[in-house]
Amino acid sequence: MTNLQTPSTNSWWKKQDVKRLLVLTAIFSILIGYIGSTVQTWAMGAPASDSMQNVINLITIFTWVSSPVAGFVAAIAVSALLGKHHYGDNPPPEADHAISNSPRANAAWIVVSALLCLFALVAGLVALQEEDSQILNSNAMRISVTGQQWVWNFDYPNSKGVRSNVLHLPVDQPVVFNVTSKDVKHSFWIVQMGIKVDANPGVITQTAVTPNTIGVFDLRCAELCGLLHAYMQNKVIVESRADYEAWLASQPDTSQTTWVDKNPKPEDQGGKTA
Amino acid sequence: MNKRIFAALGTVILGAGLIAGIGSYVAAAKNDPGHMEAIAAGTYTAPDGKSYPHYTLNLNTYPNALFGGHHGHPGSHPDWVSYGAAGTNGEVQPDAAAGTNYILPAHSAITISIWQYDSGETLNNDYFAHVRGTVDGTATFVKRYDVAGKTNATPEEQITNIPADMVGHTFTVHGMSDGQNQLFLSIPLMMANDDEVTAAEEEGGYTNFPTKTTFTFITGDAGEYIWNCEFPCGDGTIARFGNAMSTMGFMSGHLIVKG
Repeated sequence: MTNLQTPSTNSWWKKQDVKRLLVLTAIFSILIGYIGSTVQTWAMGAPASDSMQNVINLITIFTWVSSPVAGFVAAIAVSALLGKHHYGDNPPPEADHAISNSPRANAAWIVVSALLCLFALVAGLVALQEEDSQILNSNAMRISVTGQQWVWNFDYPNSKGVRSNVLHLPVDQPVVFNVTSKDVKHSFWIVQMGIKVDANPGVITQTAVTPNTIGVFDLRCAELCGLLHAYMQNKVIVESRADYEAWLASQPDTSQTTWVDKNPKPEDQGGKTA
Repeated sequence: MNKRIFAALGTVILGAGLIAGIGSYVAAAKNDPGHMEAIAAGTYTAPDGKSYPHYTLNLNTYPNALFGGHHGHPGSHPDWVSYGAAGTNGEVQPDAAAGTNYILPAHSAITISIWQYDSGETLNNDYFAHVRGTVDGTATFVKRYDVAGKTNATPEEQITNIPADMVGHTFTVHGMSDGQNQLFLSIPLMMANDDEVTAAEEEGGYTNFPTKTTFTFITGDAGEYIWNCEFPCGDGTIARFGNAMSTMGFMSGHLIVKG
């Protein structure tokens, strides 16, 4: 049925171009695995939570496991570009090792791909389960996060009405974020802590993390949200419990407006609601 | 073989060039090249006793550009709300070169006065009803400024906030996550009298009694920031953050701090 079942005098895997393809696959697999895993983790910075460490571990494993597939595709592309070409209606006589009609090859490709997907699914579900358990932590501090084109702001519910644009967190304190949006869809992403959740208007979504490193980290919007989306970012300051409490105590209560109109007449402004 | 490699490389280079060209065109089309520089005004002594070089900047906000509100001309969108250059008493400033990119010196005290000629409605987030990031967290507010008389028609007062349902616009500078100094500002600008705004427009001009808000902040190292209005004053297609709110040169721009 295929040339695999009726091999020529030389087995197909002993062909020169097949050997070259295998060598190229090995080289590209190692390069892709190494560069892909290190560049991704380097770009996101050192982990500032166990969640981020889990993300880095998953990225590293996924990248290495899938790198042979990418390496094989790259090797075929390079071989096709550099190798000899045959012009004409019929296959060249030396193409007797073609495996395009091989059930074994097809089955192997499908099974390996399915196993990779299944592995990614299970690992992802386990990671999500870990995050869900953090959201249910009754000892967690709950911070309200509001996204609006193109600024974030935060409410600290157990404070005297403190609101801020820079996010302050105490180290080693479990935190649950209740996230929403005032206009379009945004995405709340603390890069080095490995958490990201959509901010949807009229809906509260949740994510949780326990920051384990004191420092300054990056908060970004991860959902294209308009003209100044690229600037919808800010700092996250993780500090000791004492420093956090001192910062909280130093902030004014801005949960309510307190302005009193001392000149209401005769030019009452006549405000109207949207 | 060489021919094939050159063809492949040429295709990649051409594709990259095409994408870069489209990107550059879109970026240029979106950017407002006009700019205004803060004007030197002596020395400022902060409440903590420190002295800084002092600079000022005068701005107006208009309900539309019909009567010169968009830097002295109606522009291509005469019905859009717009920030614009202001005279020393809030007069319409016909400076067509002025945009909404403001150049400020580093490590200086900057005092910005904004005459607000537009009416207003309710903020969709009352976080922006508070004065944030200024010296002492306050601003100086005049509910009714007489532009023709060049004087306050109502007494000046210090404010930390205004009602969220009386906001015309805001001047909000974004904090950033990169290494430059944090510079976050948000100042609510109270609406002008709604009836007077409408009546003036019917007569072919802007009200003679805008509100006036003045605030001072301290710049850090050189850096580039983004500012925009946080009152939803554009069209309704994207939570009223469309048209003027989503085009550089109207209700947003750059704040460029130079060393």
